Amino acid sequence: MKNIFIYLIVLTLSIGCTKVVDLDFGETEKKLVVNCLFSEDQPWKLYLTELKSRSELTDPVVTNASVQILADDGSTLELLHAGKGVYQSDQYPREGVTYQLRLNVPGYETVSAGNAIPAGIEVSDVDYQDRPTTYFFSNTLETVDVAPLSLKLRSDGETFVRFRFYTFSAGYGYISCLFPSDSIEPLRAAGIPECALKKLEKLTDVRYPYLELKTLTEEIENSCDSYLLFDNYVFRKSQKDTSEVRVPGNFEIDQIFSNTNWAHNVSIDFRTVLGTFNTTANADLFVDYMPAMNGYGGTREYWLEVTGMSEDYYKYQETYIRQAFQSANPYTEVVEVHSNITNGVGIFAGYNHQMVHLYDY
Amino acid sequence: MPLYNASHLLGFVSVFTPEALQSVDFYKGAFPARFGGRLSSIVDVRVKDGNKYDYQTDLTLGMLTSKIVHEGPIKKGKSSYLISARRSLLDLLLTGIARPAQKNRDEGTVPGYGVYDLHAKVNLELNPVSHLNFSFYTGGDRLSFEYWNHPEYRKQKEEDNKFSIRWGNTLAVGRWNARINPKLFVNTTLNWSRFRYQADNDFYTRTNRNSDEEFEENSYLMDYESHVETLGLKTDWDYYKSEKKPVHFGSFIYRHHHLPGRRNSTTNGKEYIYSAKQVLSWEFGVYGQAEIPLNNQVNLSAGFRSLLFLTGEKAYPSFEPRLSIQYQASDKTTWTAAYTRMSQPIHLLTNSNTGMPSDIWVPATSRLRPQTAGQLSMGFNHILPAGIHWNTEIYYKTMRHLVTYSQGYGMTDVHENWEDYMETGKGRAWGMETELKYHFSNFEAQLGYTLSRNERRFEDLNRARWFPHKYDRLHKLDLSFMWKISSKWTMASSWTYQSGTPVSFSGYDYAGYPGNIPYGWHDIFTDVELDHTDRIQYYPSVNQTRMPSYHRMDIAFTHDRYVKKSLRQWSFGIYNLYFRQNPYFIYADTQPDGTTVYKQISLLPILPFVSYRITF
Repeated sequence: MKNIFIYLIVLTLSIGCTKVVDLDFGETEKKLVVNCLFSEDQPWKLYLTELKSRSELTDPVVTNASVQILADDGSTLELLHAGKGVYQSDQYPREGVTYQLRLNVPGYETVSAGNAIPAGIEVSDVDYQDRPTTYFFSNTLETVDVAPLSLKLRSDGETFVRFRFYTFSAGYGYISCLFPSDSIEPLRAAGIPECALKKLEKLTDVRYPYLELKTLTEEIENSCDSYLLFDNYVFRKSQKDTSEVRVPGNFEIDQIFSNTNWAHNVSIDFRTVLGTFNTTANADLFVDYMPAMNGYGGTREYWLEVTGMSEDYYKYQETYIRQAFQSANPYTEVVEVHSNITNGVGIFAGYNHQMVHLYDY
Repeated sequence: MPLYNASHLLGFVSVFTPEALQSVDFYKGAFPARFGGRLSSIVDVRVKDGNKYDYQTDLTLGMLTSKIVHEGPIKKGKSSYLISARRSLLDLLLTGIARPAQKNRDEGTVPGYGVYDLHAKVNLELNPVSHLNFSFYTGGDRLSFEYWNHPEYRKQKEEDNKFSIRWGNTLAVGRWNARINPKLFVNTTLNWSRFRYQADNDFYTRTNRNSDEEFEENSYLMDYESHVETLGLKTDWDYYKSEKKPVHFGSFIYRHHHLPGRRNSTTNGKEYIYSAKQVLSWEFGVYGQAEIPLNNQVNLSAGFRSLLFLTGEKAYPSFEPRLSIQYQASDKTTWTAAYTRMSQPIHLLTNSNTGMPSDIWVPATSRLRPQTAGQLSMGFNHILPAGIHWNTEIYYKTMRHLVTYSQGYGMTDVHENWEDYMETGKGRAWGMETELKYHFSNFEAQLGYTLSRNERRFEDLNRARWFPHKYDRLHKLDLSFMWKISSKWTMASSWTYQSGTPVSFSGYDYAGYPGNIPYGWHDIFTDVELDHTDRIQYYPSVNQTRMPSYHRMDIAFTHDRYVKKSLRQWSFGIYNLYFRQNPYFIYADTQPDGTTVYKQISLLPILPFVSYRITF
């Protein structure tokens, strides 16, 4: 169906005139943007920026904020600025505690929000069936081979859950890379375009999971018409580190969807399944069958991520995905992304997280 | 009989051939009680019966459309028929140029857009006081697109794709009217109508994967349909106790069948069907209206319309009072005031973010109540010096139980429980409409201005705040004149202006939580994979910005010549004289540097036209 409208738009373009138009968006909005999703796995970390015009390129970061986390057990925690608008602490949030955010920036009203990490979800009876079935996505006119996956869930009361499906390659999954800034000049000497060099500079001197650095470099390759940058230059020049545990950023997201009522996909997104249940539920899902066969050497592992979300996180996630898809399809109504930040936008919400190992290939 | 789609060519042309019409009446405020089922306005269109004495043909050949109207007696002086047919030439022109030009190419596209309508009417005199007539109408629009790619290099994928979108009405009416006695008349109408919106796609690929001999073939077929069918029986009585005291009353029954949406997809012979729940509903009603002169200056019109709408297991009764009063202050001035309640058991779903044809009709159900409205209006008519007619009306309207798509959903989403993807809310509209008309000798001019607001409020949209409706227009100005230069030449021109359409575009964005959506998808325009899924668009309010205003000027010259009694008429002119690029559709376009600009698509920026008409 979506393709029909793609062609319809192409038709309109072919018989119409197109020009850039200035739209009046009224007075500039001045709002703080808070991004803080917390779980027991990670120490406190909060990103603070400002709303920006879409005609500008970078987010204005806020570096002079006072950020406090007040727990309902009476304790107070101060998050300190660590650069580039990131405020953090080495302490970890805890399940069962409700946290209040108090954030002050000169020139802005006090920003506040409250949330907690939800109770954990018990996953059992995981049944991944190693047999493909062909599924047709009528929206994209594509067929895909999928494998059925079912499991049981149990929790206390109303629960909000997100499923994602990942593959992990033992070949590179333990590797992280640091691309040093002194590698830029040799690349310039090798004739790499300035467009690519400027973007590569932003990736230097930061340690990235192998897959994340590869993806970021490939985006530069595409946008600057400069090919094989990663294989020929960036990976070779990087300082590699091999971890003993799987590096989270090296998990590669793949297709997962559900047709059952309690859990549903958002629009035509095939990589996130969101759902709600009360106490117990059975989840019947489909995941990509033997995705990305090139494992770069080594075993390829299939993993299911089960994330228990607070209600605010769930609404944020659902509306965020729905908005992103809506922006690519003008035949739908616009979506306002959920925010629980008073006097600002963004999200301050808790979650829990577990990875379920399904299968090795 | 209701007609669900009233225009062709994306709103540029009426679905009725003007030469076949007897009368067109437009009711904005105080609807007569015999009309109902709509909240906004009523256009009462009556088609000619056909000439009972002579055969007549009216033929027009034009660049945009060509048409023929033929009428004549079946039995001279007693019975007649009328047939009219019209077809656009735009699609023949487009495909006629595109197909031969690309005939020998590996890759090609053939666009097409055509409209047609056909109308037939038979009028039979049963006896001097009784007539029977039958009407049939069908008409529609068709947008199509054909694409092929057959690369010479055999290992590349070959593609063939054909799609089309069609929408239009079909209706059939049988009517018996009779004079029971000199004071009592009756009209009984049995009617059937259908509005259909259809889309289909035929997509085929052939790929050589392994060797020269092995090919993988895939075919995908898709059919989409949404329709509403109505079967109705209506009886209207007119009783004239005196010429100034008519009483109108009647009853009606309608059966509606709605298919909100159904999509059949077939991939390599295997069929998948997605269908919204179909709904059958019934309308039963009675109405009455009386004209009551209170004195020589004041005339009261009082009426009601009462109906029962049955859908599923739910019954929705409604009572709609219709009241208007007219005060003749002087020979030149008349004041009017009216109060009207209306209900509409079907809902129009339209997408506010696109100018593409996407209107579908869905019924009230056990979960979605019929929409209702109440309107208060006041106005006056006054004759100024030099015979200029001036009329002005102010109005205030409130609406309840309105329906719209939920956030992120639209007509491309087909769900069995389609009501789950709807929001219900309320609306309000107010404004002032004024019009000046001047007619002197061989010159006519008309000026109309409307100042208005139209707003909506839904609990789960826009944080439950009011926002402008898609059809909110603060200003609307229409200026037209016609000058009969000589006995043969006529010049006509018009200029129209209206405030821009409210749309929800975002001027601001912010960062989503890092890595929260670690994947992208494809832009619907360019099919380029989007890499900015880390951005969240900030909307201060729904429909908070506006497209650029719409205005254009048209000019036409007509030359008439009579050969015996036969008219030979040439018309030529220019549509959109000063090349205004009016916005038809706007979309956000991400630039290579990551910033976003908005681009506007305009249709028919300037269009000279010529047509030739002959009657005989």
